[in-house]
Amino acid sequence: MPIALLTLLRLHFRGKIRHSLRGMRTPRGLVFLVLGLLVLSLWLGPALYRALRMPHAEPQMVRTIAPFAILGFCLSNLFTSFGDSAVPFTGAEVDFLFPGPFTRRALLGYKILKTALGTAFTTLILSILFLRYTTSWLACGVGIWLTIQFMQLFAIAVIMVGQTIGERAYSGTRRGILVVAALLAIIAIGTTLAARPHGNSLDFMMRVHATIAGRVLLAPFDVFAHTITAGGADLLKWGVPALLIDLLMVALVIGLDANYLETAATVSQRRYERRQRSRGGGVARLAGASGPRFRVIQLPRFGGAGPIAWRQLVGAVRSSRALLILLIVIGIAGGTFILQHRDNSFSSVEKLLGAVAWINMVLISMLKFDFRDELDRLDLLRSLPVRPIAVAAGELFTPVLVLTAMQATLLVAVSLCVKDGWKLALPIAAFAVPFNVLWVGIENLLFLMFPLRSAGLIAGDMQLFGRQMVIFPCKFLLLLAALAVVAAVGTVGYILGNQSWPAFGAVAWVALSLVALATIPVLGRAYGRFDPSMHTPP
Amino acid sequence: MIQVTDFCKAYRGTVAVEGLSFDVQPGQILGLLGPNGAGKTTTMRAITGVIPPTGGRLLVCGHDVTLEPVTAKALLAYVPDEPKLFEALTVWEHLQFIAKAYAVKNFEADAVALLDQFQLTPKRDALAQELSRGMRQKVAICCAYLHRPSAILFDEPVTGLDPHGIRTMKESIRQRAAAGAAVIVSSHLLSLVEDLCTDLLILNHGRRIFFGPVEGARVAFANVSGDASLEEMFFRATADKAA
Repeated sequence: MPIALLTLLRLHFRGKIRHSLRGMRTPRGLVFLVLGLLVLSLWLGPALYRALRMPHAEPQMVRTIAPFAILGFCLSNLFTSFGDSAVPFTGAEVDFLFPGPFTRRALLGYKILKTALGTAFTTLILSILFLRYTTSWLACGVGIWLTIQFMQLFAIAVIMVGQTIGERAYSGTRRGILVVAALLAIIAIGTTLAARPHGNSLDFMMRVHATIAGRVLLAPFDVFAHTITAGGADLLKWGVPALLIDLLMVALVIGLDANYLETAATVSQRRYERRQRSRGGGVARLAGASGPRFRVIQLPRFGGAGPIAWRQLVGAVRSSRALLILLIVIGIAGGTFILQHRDNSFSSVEKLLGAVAWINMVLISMLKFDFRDELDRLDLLRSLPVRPIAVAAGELFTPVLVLTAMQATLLVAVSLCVKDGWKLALPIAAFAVPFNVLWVGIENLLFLMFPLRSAGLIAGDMQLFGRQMVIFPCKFLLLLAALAVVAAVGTVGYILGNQSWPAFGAVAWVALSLVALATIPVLGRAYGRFDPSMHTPP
Repeated sequence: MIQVTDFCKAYRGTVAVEGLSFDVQPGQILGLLGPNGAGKTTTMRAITGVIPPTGGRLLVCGHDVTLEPVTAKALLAYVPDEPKLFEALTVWEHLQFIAKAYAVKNFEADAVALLDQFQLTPKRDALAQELSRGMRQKVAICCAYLHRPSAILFDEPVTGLDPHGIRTMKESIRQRAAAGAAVIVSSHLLSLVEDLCTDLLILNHGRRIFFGPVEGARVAFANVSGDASLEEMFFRATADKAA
């Protein structure tokens, strides 16, 4: 590899360290760094303690699950790889390296080496988390690192083969491999099921693995699982073949010397544009707009809130592909939940509340059709002849609407499929809208107070990690405080209503609605105080 | 210096550029003009070796970009429309890397002079992510000049630059051409092309509409008066052929 590319790797490494340590000279940066390290140690500490002080778990678990996981990754990679796939080069690499005096092989070698070095931090974290399930930390680290390399090389190899043999031939080959894999999987699972197995899912996986078809299907991946769990001399016995498999993959991708530059440049540009779009937006924005085929009727002006809500709503509707994916995820999770409880009449609301809360927790970070999507447009927004409170109301409208719609889907399904489910779904549905206003309001309030670009996060950046760890509990503390007020007022209603639960519910609903409505002027005030010239993060 | 012969580029049935031939000699500054989608960026990216041609030959100083990519690329520099820098690297580290990539010995003095020329000296140790749009453009230009390329390709070179930067940029392009570099400037700013370029290549729908000296364009589009502006010539050239 040319020395210049090694120099670039060195400069990148130095830059990453600098990026991670930036701001340490300021007290705030130092506090965030310390908090980040503290939270990380609180996360890894228990895993380390269990690994060092408690009896180790049976390595067989890793040996059973890991090959299935790697197989799943490889198949999904094959299944989802089509014209848009490319070796992932950054925009700067395309602009500086592609026209530079480097061969395609040298650039590919650089990319593989950079990726391999870049996974060191992930390997370190994973090796600590999995330590309890292995016999040696060294083997665990080596095994995980080699496994990650295999998976990344496999992804690159799939792309390179596709670009070498042409799209049509590749589709045929890919289909062939998928059919063979599916056949082997069907035979392995069929053989196991025919024996009417007992035990849990781990036992089932072990039995599938033990069949001839299973052994054939999982053989290449067994090597990595054994390396992760190897102890002493076994590390060499399994580690060397694992390394050889990785080197074989390297030889394959370098040897093919496919002309990947054009696709990589095009995809890199597309990713760059997508990243620019997502600098303030969420997953829905990442999926890209689906074109102007969906139209949304204009909302009334409502003092300026209407047009702002309408614009965000249009964005949400045109990201409907991503929203659909989210709905499918919720459908699968909700379906599992309903299947588990279809025979029970609910005696408590905890599980349903838990499911609704899960929807809120997961979706809030994805449905950024509010201030979090406006970071680079706050100048424009502030130039509009609209009062801050109306802007705040308009910004909250779409995420609240989408969240409520998704929760409603789950609640309707529960009402229809679960015995007496409507008795619980109905009161929860009544509280959903004010709760969502409060939840999205708090999320936006903290965002305006501590604006942060999610796209700027890099692995190992302890200050950003610390910052998020501070904001996260703040969010919950604010929510808890608001809910405590609601509960207190509801309790007063309960007492005054002669210990009546409907009275509690009605008073609590009114209190929650008032608290939720109160977040709008607070949010408007925070927006009014936001100075884009000072508060916009780089 | 740059020789393009019968260059074609097609994307899944769509022909982006068809049968394009032209050459740029040392000292010439060729203005590459055309409406959006005419094939300008495709041509530039093919000359730099980023995208392979579907047909034809692309030579830089006699080296085929497809057959001898490393030798050809070592002799050219490309400044894209919106240069993307390595965000975690400083300005100086970008130059350090370029010096290594193009095997430029004792680059420091030249790098310092370039930073000075483009008013980047105070930003020498600034991270790329801290730079404004114009500054990033200037860094990309400094990187392009550092190895004294024989062929330089600019895609919208003055976008984002302040008036001082634009003047420096134009002067530097003239200097490089005077020193013997072959320069291609692709831009929609007709005044920039008129001011800077010695020759013109006008593309429309992937085909060559005109190639030759700027004065020749006035002759080619004969129904335009002798002192017609480039803007008038451009509209006539692209409108006639598009129709």
